[in-house]
Amino acid sequence: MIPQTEQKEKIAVWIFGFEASPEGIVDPILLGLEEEGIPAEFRQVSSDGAEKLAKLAADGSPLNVGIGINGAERAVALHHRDLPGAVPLFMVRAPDLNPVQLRLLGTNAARLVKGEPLAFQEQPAFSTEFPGATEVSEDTLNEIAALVLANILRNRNEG
Amino acid sequence: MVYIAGVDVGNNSTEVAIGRLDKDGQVNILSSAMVRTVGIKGTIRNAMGIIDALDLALRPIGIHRTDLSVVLLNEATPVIGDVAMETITETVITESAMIGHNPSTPGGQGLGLGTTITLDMLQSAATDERWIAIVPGTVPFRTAAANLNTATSRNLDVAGAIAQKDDAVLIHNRLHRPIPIVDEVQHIERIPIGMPAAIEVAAPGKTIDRLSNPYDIASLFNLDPEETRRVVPIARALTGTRSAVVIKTPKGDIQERRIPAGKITLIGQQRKAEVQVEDGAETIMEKIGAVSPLIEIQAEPGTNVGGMFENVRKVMAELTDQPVSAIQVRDILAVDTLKPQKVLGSLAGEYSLGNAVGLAAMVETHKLPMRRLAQKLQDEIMVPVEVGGIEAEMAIRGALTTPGTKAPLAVLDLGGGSTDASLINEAGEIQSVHLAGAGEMVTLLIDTELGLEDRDLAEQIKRFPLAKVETLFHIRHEDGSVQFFHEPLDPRLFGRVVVLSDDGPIPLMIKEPLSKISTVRQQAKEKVFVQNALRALSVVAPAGNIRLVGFLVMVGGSALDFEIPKMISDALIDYGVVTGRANVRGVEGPRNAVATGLVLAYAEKQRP
Repeated sequence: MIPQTEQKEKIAVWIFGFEASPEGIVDPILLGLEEEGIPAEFRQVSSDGAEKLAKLAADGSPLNVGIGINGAERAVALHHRDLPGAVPLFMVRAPDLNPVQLRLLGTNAARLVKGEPLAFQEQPAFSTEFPGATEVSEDTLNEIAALVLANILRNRNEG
Repeated sequence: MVYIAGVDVGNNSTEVAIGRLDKDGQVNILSSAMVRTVGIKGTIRNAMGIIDALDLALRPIGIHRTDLSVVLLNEATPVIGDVAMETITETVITESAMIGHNPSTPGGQGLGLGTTITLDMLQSAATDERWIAIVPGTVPFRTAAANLNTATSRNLDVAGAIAQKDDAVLIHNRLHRPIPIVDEVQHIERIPIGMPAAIEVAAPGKTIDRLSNPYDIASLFNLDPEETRRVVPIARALTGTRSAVVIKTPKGDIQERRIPAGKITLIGQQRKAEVQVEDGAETIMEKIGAVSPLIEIQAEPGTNVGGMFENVRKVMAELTDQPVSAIQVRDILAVDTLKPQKVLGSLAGEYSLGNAVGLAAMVETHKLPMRRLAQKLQDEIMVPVEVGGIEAEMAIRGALTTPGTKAPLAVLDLGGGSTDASLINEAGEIQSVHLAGAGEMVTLLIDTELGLEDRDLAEQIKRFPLAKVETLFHIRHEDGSVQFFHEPLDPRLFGRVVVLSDDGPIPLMIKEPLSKISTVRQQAKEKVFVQNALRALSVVAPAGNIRLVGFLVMVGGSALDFEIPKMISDALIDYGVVTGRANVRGVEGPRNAVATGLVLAYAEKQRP
């Protein structure tokens, strides 16, 4: 089912999906990969489970990382060649199948290739190098709110 | 057959040795144990830990507590210490003037100079000026790219862009004419509009070289010498980053401010001196050397050091039932360090390295109330409890059971709160000294310099080696060796530096590379323990000459550290001292020296 000959040379994270993969799913994934600077290759394949497709893509990709999309089941999986087939690294399913989660999956696929720490949603997208440092400023309401919040957080950490 | 127990209550651990005394006066140590000390050393709460340790040691040899003839408590060193950090410099930006952070993926590369303008105002902007576009997070990257392309198509000169979201590469890839783009600028609303700004993005793997040079900033913004002097902190804060933005504001002012950190008064036997904390550790330690032997050290009230001095004196006063005024700080150790601090008034959470001085203080009193503890313990276990033996003497007795040692022998006790040294000469005379600064000081330095604000994590970094998780299945240890795993590692560890603690790998959320973290750790250990080892030995060594110390053994918790003993050995190799970790009775390693010494000393007294 995979046209091996034409795909072998493409140095990219492979993404396998079948016809029912809506663009709304594929696009955010591609954006996540693009921002991280890692090429991706989308292929239409025949219907199968997201994990299986992801594993096939990972096994085929020269970068060892693959993503499988099953639009009908609304499930997306991220896989690595070294992982056992039944255990994808990440699995996103409805109702979590939103653009933010999908872009994060693309970001993590790229970081897996680059060997960089993966991003998780509970972490702020803006990494502050030294968390815990409090913002001190005088003017705007925003800043006062930030201060109060930091105070609450600090108190909770201590308590 | 008489069974005796030696008990050593330390700051962190309580150790026990069980000995059997034969009729001919021969003593055999049968068993030993160690538990965490319960409560502060010298308080009644210690009894719980002691009973645990006794039971732990007695179980394997099948003896009950009541079979013991006597329990010997050490005359614990009446020393406690504490640590504090004084920040000396900080960078203050009174008006937003720079961004210099490291978004993981900036867009484009090169240097762009222009006037700041919002994206929607760009449509009506004049074509005879160069612009730096500001892209707020509400604008999708496609719209941003389209607007920038429209602008360039009508010959508008856009030199660069600043984006709020992590979209720089996406925007850049959709531009007809590439420009440098810095993204993840959290407080984009603070950027002043209509001001000259410069953007620099370095090629992958490189760091910026224009905006990190004060003269380049001066050239770009036509700064006079006085203004150039003021941008030095900006240039310094931008050094080593991959991308940066500098915005010139009319009233903008960035300065490195020195914070008055208070003064310390050193009172020696002969002389007295005052030293400002902000003069740095070297000056402080120099003055201490000149004034010593010290009688007392006072710190200015209302400063961090003053607060720390008060606290440590109060703890000791409560412990010994003495008025606070009777407790004196006897020694301090000062260490220079760098402290990452958030730049006040920054746009994207930038930080700069401020100078700081770490200080450890130690108070010493005449005696800890060990008799109270002895009475309590006796009531609990119904066995006679005696307080016997000065700790330093007992430690030496125990340490001398290390195979291959003889007098003159120095014992270096590397603890948590203080570094203690004692020396026995051929005549059997013993000298000892207690110095401020030990394991807790190392933890404080690691915590500060890495900006962790997490003492427990800093403690783990101190105690265990690091590794980098390179794939889902292997890690590279800091010595370069590779370890493979059969099961995939937690994705949260992937790509991160981890501390290989006893409870498994702990991921570090800081961006610093492994080599930087291990350097901080090693330097912290060297600054504290190597300095203190030399300081302590020159006090106890015959005629103050370290070369005359024949043998040196290290004991105490930090002697078990995976690198501290080697650092001290390296430092002492030039003095020709046989240096190594103690191996009490040939089996205990650097543990149990005092407990063993107590049993041996008691046995000696019983001998006819």
